[in-house]
Amino acid sequence: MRVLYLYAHPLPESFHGALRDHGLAALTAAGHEVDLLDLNADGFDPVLGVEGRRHYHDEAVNRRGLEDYVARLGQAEALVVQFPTWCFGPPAILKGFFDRVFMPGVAFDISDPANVRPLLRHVRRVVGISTYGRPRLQAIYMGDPPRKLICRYLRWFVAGKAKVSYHALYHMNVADADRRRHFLGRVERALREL
Amino acid sequence: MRCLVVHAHPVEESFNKALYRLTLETLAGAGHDVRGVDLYAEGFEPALSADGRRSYHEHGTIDASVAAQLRHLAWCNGLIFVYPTWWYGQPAMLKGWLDRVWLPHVCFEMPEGSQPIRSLMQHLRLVGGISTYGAPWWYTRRVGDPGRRIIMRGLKDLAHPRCRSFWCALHLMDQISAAQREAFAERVRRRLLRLPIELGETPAVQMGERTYWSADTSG
Repeated sequence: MRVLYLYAHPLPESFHGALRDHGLAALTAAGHEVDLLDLNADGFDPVLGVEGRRHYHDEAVNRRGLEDYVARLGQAEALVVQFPTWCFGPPAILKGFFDRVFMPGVAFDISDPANVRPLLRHVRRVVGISTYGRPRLQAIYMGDPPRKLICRYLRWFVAGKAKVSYHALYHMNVADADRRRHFLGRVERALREL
Repeated sequence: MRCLVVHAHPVEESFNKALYRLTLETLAGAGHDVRGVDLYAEGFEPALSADGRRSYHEHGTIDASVAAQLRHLAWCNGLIFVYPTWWYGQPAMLKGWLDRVWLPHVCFEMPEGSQPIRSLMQHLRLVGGISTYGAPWWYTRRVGDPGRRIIMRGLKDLAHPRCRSFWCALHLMDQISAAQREAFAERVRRRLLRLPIELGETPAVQMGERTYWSADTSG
């Protein structure tokens, strides 16, 4: 499968850096064609600006300046999204990718506002990978926004048939090396079996 | 009350910007002290950089643009957000404001082990939100309304235990009529007018690391 690996952590030496390296290796070893999109390294601008917002619904021009990202998203048969949970949500840089690139004519068709249709039907697999500083219970109390974004909202874009899975390491603040290694193994297995 | 209104919408002529102006005018007219932060107009940089992330947990490394926002936070006792809900959450611009400004050692202390987070924002007595959504209310509820929860649970849990709160949501933004929008604006206005002018005793500001960001108290 052609996999778009959407990655959003600024530090290469972080645990996320290790997760990504293991994840990429597992996918390549399993014979997938992987396209890594490292938003921080790419210097992605997450801000939907004045022009972007004005032309947001105009499918003829709304992808101007974002053609490369749109094309890469368009080719994906599987989508892996890896990010740390900050302030109980995705980092701004990833939030901005969704704001800007998942636009009308690319991710959904809003020509009839009462009947919006998803357009990412070519994506057959979605994998979310995230870490949280706080424990699981607190995430549940908060409604676990990152999990819902992946498992409920992103699922809508890929329209029904895609399999969606989500791997989370909670309470990272106190996770010892064992738990981290265990999680690394879990992510690796999940991606190898994609 | 001393109200800080934080806003993120790029387009000047948008309905959301009109709501922002309405909020500022209504609060000032009712006799509150009001400050507005328009993140787009200020050109706030929302992405937490590699250096920002490296020094995130350290003491005393606070960027000037963040320090300015911290002075606002120390000044206010009411915090109100006006923004469009995109992808069920804050626009990246506002999400980045949360990521970068609500710092450990300043707004809260990271806990040891399983202890809860220790708040340093007890002077906050009101947290509110005014937001417009493209989605219908029932689908928003199904997704769990992440944007609202980040503010009404995540942030509010750091505020004073008797912190008041309100949330005004307008759904199906792309489909409703101008009259319905106007009705919503009127609802927002009435809600803002119900906010108490005096809040009784407000605890002294406890925010930490002051020497690094509070040099300019004029804000």
